Amino acid sequence: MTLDINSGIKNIVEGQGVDIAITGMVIVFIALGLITLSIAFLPKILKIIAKVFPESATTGVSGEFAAEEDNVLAAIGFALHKRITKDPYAK
Amino acid sequence: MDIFSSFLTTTAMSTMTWGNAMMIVIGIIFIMLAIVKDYEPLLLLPIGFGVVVGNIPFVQGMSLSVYDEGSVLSYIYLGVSHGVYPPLIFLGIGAMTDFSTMLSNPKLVLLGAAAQIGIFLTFIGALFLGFKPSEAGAIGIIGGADGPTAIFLSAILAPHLLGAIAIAAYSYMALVPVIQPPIMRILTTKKERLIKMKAPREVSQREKIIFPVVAFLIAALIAPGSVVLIGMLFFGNLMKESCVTERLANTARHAFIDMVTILLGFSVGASTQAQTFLTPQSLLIFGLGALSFSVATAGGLLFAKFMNLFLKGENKINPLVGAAGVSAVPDSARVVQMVGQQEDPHNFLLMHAMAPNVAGVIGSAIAAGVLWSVLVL
Repeated sequence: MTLDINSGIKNIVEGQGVDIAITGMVIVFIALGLITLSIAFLPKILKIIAKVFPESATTGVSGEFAAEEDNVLAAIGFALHKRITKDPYAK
Repeated sequence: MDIFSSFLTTTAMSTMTWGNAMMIVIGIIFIMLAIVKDYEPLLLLPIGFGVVVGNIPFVQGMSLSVYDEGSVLSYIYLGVSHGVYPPLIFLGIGAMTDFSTMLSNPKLVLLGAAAQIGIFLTFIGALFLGFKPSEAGAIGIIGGADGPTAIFLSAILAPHLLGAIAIAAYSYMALVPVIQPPIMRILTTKKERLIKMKAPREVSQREKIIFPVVAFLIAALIAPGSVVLIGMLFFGNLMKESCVTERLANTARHAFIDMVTILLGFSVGASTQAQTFLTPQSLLIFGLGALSFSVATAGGLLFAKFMNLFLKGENKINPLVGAAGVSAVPDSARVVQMVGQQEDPHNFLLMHAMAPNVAGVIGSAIAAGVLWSVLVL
């Protein structure tokens, strides 16, 4: 394993290290950039689609997560109840 | 008596080396960290016990270790060496991931892209140290902070380094709460750490259903090498968000991912035999791994500060959120929350940090696909 700077730089040049690194970062940014743009435009496109195919009123939350939301609401309700019963004039 | 003395020569104690003993101690330390300190127990405990099992010296002629053809451990290890387990884990990850924070603030996705600089700068660093390009690519992916992706790419590019890379990747993932905070404090000002971000908007169910299909098509068409990882990630997510395959999604994010995690962790640990693991290369890999994590954290942070030059008022990004661009989900996001709350207990950054955190998962899989395409083909 060579460790001196000159052969290290030579290894990078021979392995096309900088080229691959720049190309890789550009490709990652392009891919995620396109995903960003698609996410940004998605609500606008869906608004147009909703005029023809309106979204149903139910949120369609999956069973397990709907149950979790109920649990969270129950916990908040209990905390508020405890606070109010401790101090009936608490807002 | 002859039979007894010949049996004694077949016991592991007669062939135990100092390297094996050291690795057994390391395995026990991993187990202790998992149980006593609660450091990533779902990973460290199977890996730790696997390390102990893999370093019991085996007798020649008895097919026992992961490297012996026909042994039970070798069949379990097939899922690692052939890159099968990582995509299956991504299926479970997709089935448990909520992309709505990312959908509500899409510009945070770019922080996940910026954090992947850790992969490519580490790639250059590994080349500098004399590793071959394929080895350097496998080492660089540690910077993605994604264990399954690291194992997937190492199995393809540098199978002989898989053990060291996997242990390094999972060890540093467990150390995210230790590595990231000092870098976050050095690279940000107090004023920046106090930035409160706009509350995320409501995301419709239709967006959550369409997103995995669109995102998969974009990522796979640009970087086909990522098709397996990204495909399984978004397949799992679509099963979750469609609400018509709840049984399948439930299985994927619970029993299925747990089964694969057990097999992957145990077999990766068992592959770290002293003869293949305790080498100067492994030390270099560990050093490069620490560097890659640090650079990835810094990359996300600095890009957030750069984006703030173009953003105004309540659209500004708290730069701490950039540190979550590494794909150590959700530990990185929790670290951002913790550091943010140390400055202001009423600043809740967790849900904002989840956006670059899950984007980092996609980014590291794309980076793996790019490295595979460039270094193999």
